[in-house]
Amino acid sequence: MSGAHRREQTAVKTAWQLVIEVDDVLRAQGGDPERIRARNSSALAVAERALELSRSLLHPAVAWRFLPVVGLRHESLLLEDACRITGPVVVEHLQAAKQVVAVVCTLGPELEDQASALFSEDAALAVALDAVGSIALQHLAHGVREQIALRMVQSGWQVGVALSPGAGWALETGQRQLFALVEAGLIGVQLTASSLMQPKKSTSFVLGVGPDMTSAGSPCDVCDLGETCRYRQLYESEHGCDVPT
Amino acid sequence: MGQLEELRAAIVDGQNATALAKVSEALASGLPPEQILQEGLIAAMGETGALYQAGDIFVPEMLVAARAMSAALGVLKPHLVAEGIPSRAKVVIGTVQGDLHDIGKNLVAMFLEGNGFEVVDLGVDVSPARFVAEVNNGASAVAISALLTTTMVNMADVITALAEANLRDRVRVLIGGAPITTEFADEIGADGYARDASSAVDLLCQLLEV
Repeated sequence: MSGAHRREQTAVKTAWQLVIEVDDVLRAQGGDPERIRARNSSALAVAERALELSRSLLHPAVAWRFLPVVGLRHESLLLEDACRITGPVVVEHLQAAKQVVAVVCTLGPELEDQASALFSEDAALAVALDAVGSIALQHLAHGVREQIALRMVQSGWQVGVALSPGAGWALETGQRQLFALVEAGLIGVQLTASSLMQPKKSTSFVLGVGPDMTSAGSPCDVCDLGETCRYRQLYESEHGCDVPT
Repeated sequence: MGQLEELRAAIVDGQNATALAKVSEALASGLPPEQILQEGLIAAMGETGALYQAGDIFVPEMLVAARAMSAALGVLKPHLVAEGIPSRAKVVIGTVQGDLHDIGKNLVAMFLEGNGFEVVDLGVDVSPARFVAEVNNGASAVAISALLTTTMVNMADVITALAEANLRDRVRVLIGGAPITTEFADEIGADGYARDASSAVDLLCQLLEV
């Protein structure tokens, strides 16, 4: 498949409304907003400042592409245009899919650059700003999934669990395959030699869609981080349930 | 409340301006810089770390405390240097080769500095050879960070490189990052794993007996 064809097939959206509150910033750093508000005005002020600062630094953008599934062979899911994605996790979670949506989301480089630059003069603000980025990216990814789910409603299709390279799906293989499906360069996302995305505040995943897909389950079910994942620990302690699809 | 107690309290509460004023007052009153460091800054960070590890304060509160400590240290440092006060030890820190994440590593560096260590921060995507070079320059500990399961395996290369340079016996290796566990540290032959910046300070003090 040519790069030109991939570009033509990739949809891009840059207008995203991300609603983030100060309490989200404190929670994302493992804090209890109510207790911090009651006793530490400095920590609260830092979170407020980070949120204010982030307004001009967040540039959310999403690139995605729908690809019909044409077959399944061993550990490969065969897609149109001679594309494929491989791995046991891919087959397990996407074998019921009629189509696969390859998604890359980013917030752009400004926020993370500013957080790094700030570290030497105000580490607390730098970390809070990084936390704003983490939440924004999480909201963006959830927003994309919701929008895709909405598009599927009319046809009665479901959206499956998000599979990300590095979370159950081998990072290097997964990223190379995913970036071969969608033209992430349209939103300024590149892969490094070690398959990390730049800007760092980016995320990539595939979603299976189809009438027999199930939206039950959690990305954590397949992720290598397991019990060591701080995000998972935080989410589960706060919500008392698994991280949602 | 004495001057150093007030300094300690200001740092623990994350009151930057008060911490700066208190350290200047302490210096102006003739207290030795080393005493201000030990009984003011290091004691405050010890207290903050203990509160955090007990679950009594949260990361954002620990960070404003660290910020206040860092500001106070900025005022104190020239006086420590002028008096030739030695650091506890020299530590070289960096994010492992192939990984670009730096927030956790930066926090550990800041906490180590605030606790009297000399820190050489090599940044991100650091090759084993650069760690080895800094150990040759006198670092007695190496602290390595990784955020990803795919990059954490590269930490073993640093330990191998230290062994090949016949330096492994004279340096302590500490690792940390989201996917790291004590089991992984044991598996690759590191001396320890720290789950956060505060634990990293405690562990390094134990390992180096400082």
